[in-house]
Amino acid sequence: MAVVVGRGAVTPLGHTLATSMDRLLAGEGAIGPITRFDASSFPVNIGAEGPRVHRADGSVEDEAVALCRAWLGAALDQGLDGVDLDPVPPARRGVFLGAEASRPPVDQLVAALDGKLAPAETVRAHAPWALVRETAERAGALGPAAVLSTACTSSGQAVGEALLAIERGEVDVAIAAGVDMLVHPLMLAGFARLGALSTRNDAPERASRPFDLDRDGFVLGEGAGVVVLASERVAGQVGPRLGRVSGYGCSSNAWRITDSPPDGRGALEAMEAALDHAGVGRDGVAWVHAHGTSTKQNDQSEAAAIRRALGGSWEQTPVSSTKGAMGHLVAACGVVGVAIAVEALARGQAPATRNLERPDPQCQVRHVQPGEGLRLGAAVVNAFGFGGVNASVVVEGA
Amino acid sequence: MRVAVTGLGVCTALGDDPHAVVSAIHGGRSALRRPDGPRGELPIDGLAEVDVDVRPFLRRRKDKKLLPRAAELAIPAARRALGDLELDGIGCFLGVGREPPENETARAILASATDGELDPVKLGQDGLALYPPLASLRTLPNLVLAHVAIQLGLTGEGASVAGEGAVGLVAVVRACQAIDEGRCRVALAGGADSLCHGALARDHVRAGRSYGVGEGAAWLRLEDPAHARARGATVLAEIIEVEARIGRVGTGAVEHRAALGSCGAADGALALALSLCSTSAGRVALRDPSSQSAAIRWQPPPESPP
Repeated sequence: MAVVVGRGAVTPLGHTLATSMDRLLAGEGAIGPITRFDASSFPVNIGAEGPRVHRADGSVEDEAVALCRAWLGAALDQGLDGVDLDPVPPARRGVFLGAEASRPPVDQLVAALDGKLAPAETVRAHAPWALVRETAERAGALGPAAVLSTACTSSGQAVGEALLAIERGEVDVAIAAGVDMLVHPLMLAGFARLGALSTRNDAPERASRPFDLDRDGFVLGEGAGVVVLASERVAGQVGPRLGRVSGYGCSSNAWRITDSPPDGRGALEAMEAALDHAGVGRDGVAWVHAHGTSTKQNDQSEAAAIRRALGGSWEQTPVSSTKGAMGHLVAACGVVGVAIAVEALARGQAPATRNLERPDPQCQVRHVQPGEGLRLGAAVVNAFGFGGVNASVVVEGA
Repeated sequence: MRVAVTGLGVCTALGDDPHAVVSAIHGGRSALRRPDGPRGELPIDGLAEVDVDVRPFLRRRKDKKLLPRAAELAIPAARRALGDLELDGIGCFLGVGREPPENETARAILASATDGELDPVKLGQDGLALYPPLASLRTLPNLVLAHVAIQLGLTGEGASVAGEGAVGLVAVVRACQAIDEGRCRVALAGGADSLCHGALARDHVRAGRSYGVGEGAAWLRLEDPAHARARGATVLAEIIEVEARIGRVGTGAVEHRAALGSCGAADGALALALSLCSTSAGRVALRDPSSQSAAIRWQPPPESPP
């Protein structure tokens, strides 16, 4: 078990976790026409863009690593606000970052493809792991570190690895973080060609609809999240007790690259392992923060996994996904999901799934109702990735 | 910590038998050649490409078209490390590098560029038809892990650690911890990368310029010692100490780079696999430019003769 002493997020819904949560609970959404570049010629031209970042000259930043650096930095500021790391030696501080494919600056990419060699520093600055060193430096961390790159599972795994590092006594403080930038011409081209994105260009606010009968794909989102975990031994010295992360489970589907098995077995194994790790009974789950991407097959598979994991308790256990409001944050979605769960348990209220108008009978779960309060209990946060690695994290109240 | 090493698999430009690769390196052989053909303009003196046919190792030979280059290297090596062991819940932990856009994707991007800059409107209008449907997925770092898990049926804990030289060792550290803590009984762990394939190979050469540029994969089959004993497995070595952290962990030279070039994210796992073949007890440590670093110490198995 690890104590949550800090949390932060930058999402399409806002610059802070608190703002994002307020807007989630109010039923608001952040999906709209893409403004970062001219996407009018694409079959999909909607997305959930992260907050704008301005360069020193006042222009709007559009380069991937610069945006990731800014969002991750802002989430880290929130996460470390009120946290005093001084009692913890640098070697007892760890950093686990979920980060996904690099997005080299487009002009660099074009130049390289055209036969020009980019400076090594430029190449390395845009690698997916470039931000782990900076995060460690900001936290003064010299302990365990890893960049987990398992697509949509990345930062869920980062939280899990942070928990495990604390439980095995390697560190006293572990920063779990995740960041991604998806609203990018090459990502839009790739995922549109894959047929994975919603094409509701004429009604972007209604495009992402997890578990709804009329869902037609996910919406690209982006942002960053951070949770700061501490061992029980030092938690009282470093920050407020905001919640606990008590369980982590991980599995591989070994099925297909883009689909999950219809019976949900890989996801089931991750959820069961996480609940067993936490020692939480199936009737002790107050909320499942589902991965819920709004794709036909994966929502169905996850719903099957949730029913099987919760056994006889599934009809009483509320489930929702936040991707209806803010799209799919991919490598950042796991840790942002955990931060939201900490907030939901503290407020006693979980957001309902936005745009869930006609629940798909193939996705039978007990959906959160708007304004519904949470009973006391644990939250299970799911992050299931392209490629088939699944992570589930159990969060409990302070 | 005690974690048994019960299998090794490599895929290198000097062959796929790790003992033979060690002998070749110690005998002064090198796979590095001056680049020629389409790679002749690369600003390096040595290039060591692997001649590998992945198709015999696939469930369906047509799956080859889905594979990024690092997966073509990783799958045969993983199959050799796993052998014929079949078990539910085998873990899979892999260190990976950047998977550059491949040539088809590159053509689509170039077709959408105007004056050296990507024109999104042109990409949507003209480039999209050229854009391979799996292009985005092929460049996700975890896809190599996914293909290995799918081809070998590995359903246990999986993790893909991204970086450069050290991450294969970081992956081995994570696997040892998963076994030591009881989350899996058997795991494959290693690294796979290619610095000399793909449309951005010329940028990758930076990473290995002082050694030459290479590619490869290396895996260890790791196992709970009691599980290995119970099934009568031959234990090659026991890992007794692991460390993965930011900064230095007392790094040493990576011997194979002089013969195989820099193999990017595969370097750490290759160094470990080859060292296990040449030294009955030792330590391998590596740090990469992301500051991720790892160290592994091993000793002979208890039952091995002195």
